[in-house]
Amino acid sequence: MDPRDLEVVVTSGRRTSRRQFLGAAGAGAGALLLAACGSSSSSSNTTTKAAGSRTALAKGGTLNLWTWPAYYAPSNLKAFQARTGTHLNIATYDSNDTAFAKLNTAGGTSFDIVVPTSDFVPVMASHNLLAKLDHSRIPFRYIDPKLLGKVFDPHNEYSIPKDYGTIGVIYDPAVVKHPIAHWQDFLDAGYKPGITGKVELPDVPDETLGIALWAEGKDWNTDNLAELRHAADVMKAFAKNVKAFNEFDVSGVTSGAVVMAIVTQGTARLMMLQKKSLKFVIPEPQSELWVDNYCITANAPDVNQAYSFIYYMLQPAHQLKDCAYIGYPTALPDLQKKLPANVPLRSEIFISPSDFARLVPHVIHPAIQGEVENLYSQIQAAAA
Amino acid sequence: MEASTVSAGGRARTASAASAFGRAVLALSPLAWLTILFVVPLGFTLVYAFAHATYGGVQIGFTWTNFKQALSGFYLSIFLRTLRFAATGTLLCFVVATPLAYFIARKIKRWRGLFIVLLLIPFWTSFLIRTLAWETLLAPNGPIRDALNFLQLHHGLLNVLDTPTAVFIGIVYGYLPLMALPLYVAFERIPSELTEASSDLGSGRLGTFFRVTLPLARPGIAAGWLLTFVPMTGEYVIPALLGGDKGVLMGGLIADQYLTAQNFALGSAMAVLILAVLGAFVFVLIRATGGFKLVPQ
Repeated sequence: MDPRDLEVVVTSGRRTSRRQFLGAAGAGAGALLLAACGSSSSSSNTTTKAAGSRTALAKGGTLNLWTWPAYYAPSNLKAFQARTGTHLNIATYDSNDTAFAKLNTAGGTSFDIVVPTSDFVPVMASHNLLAKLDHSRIPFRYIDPKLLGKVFDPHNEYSIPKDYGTIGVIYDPAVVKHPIAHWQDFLDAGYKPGITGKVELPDVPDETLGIALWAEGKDWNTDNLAELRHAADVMKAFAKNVKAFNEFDVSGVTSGAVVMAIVTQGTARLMMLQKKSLKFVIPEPQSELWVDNYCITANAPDVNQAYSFIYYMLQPAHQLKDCAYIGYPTALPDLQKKLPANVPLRSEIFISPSDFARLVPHVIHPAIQGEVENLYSQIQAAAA
Repeated sequence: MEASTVSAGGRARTASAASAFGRAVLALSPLAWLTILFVVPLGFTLVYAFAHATYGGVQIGFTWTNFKQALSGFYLSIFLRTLRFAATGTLLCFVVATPLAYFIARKIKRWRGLFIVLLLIPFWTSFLIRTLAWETLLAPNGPIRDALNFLQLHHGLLNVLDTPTAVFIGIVYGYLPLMALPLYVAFERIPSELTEASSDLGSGRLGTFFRVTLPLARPGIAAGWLLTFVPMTGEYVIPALLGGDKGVLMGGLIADQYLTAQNFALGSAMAVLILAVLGAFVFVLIRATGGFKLVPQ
């Protein structure tokens, strides 16, 4: 494995919130650009298929990738370009909202691939922004079946899982004495002296409301406005304990300025690499399952290039490198057994089967999204 | 405009169709620039503000719903909060920039150019990078903490980041040159005879400053207020980075309406409201300064 792929990415692509992205954009995008420029020699436009295989790699040409920053092992991108002679054009976004907004512009855009998170797959599909996939060109044998056929795309007509994760609570057990096992424990602990004012909530509306809904054993995908408003009231009261709305404050948590925060398991791992005493838990009863997916855009300039890239990136060796680089599990079956032992804190990358069974993907209800945003703004305002 | 008149006068006799065409291009290109990049988007915003909202789009029509929503309860309070925020930021910038600009304009002779360059140097670095630098400086275990601890002025972690204090430090830092430069120009142009006359007539130094210098610098003050207040009403980077994204301002709210809520109509209505308030603000400033007229020489 290329040693560069084992470097811990401090600004891992996924979940770079808008806030975080402001800082990460320069570094991440720049690195990708450099990687992309590494071997962009050929630019002939001939896309050919190897005889007898519909999944062969396209040669030459250009692939336009619209994705999260620093989301692929640099050696994978380099090797892909060296192998295929394809020129990689990489543009990055900081949030699914941005990805959707740009694809949804009247003039359209010319990306071949976009990598939305699960809840945005149906949103993009219903706006006719995604192409229906030709399953004969996808190497499904390299995809863990537990990630297929999920609620956001029941037949994987539009999306192929790339990697996935969850959110949970990272906390400093030296300060947060009572162990966090349930979302209600998190809410209760936040009010305690020594903890209040040192808590961070997600900068994602649905997740912030989700905490209160999960704590009461409710479905976080409810479209019942009364339930959502009640959840918002719980979080508005809780807001006075909040230091910041930030899902990626690595230095805040490791310095002790923040003693309890909601983060993805990948972010928790980054924090634990710097401060071993931290604890990460996926509280009962439920939490989020997010899956980032390869999708081909409806007006992709070169569909063959898109299939070629997906095929290449799904190869087991490449998925392993991606996993080590981004710190989130990729879609490869039995990934945990195959990932090299020298990946630091490798066990923290994975979600145990019993935890995985409790995870629920988010569903966007367009009709109430405005009210959800409004409620979230009120929670933010209550924290000031 | 003056330049083109001069050249037209000088070579009027030999002016060919080509040069007339050249002048037309010269005159029209800024107009086209403004039209395409300002007027057209503004037109869209206006049309959207009166349209019916759909998720990720609009249905063209005419309704006051968006404005009613933008001026209802919570949004109205954020609107007022934003105006208070921008006014506070502007005032802080003004208080800090006035002595600075006065010092450079009236007290420094030899190194004045250097001071102006020092004032402008921050612009060579991206605004984002500079704001992020403050995030590092103000971090609970950052260099400012270390310095204060070393000087025995503070003990333990620094609790400034993610507070309003950090936000206003960032605001004053970010907008200071925009306030200081017009003030500098205004102070610099006030003839020294006037201040001398003031002291000859028995006014002290403070009296001269407040009753002669400051009133004469009115156009510079107005320009400084304009250059800081207007962008501050749309500010959302500094509160997000240094304020922990707590509290909400119109800039972030509009961005969220467009991106997260995918409600272009409401976002547009909010933008139009801000434009209306800023328009009124500019109008008042123009009236108060007689059209930003410079000090009589």
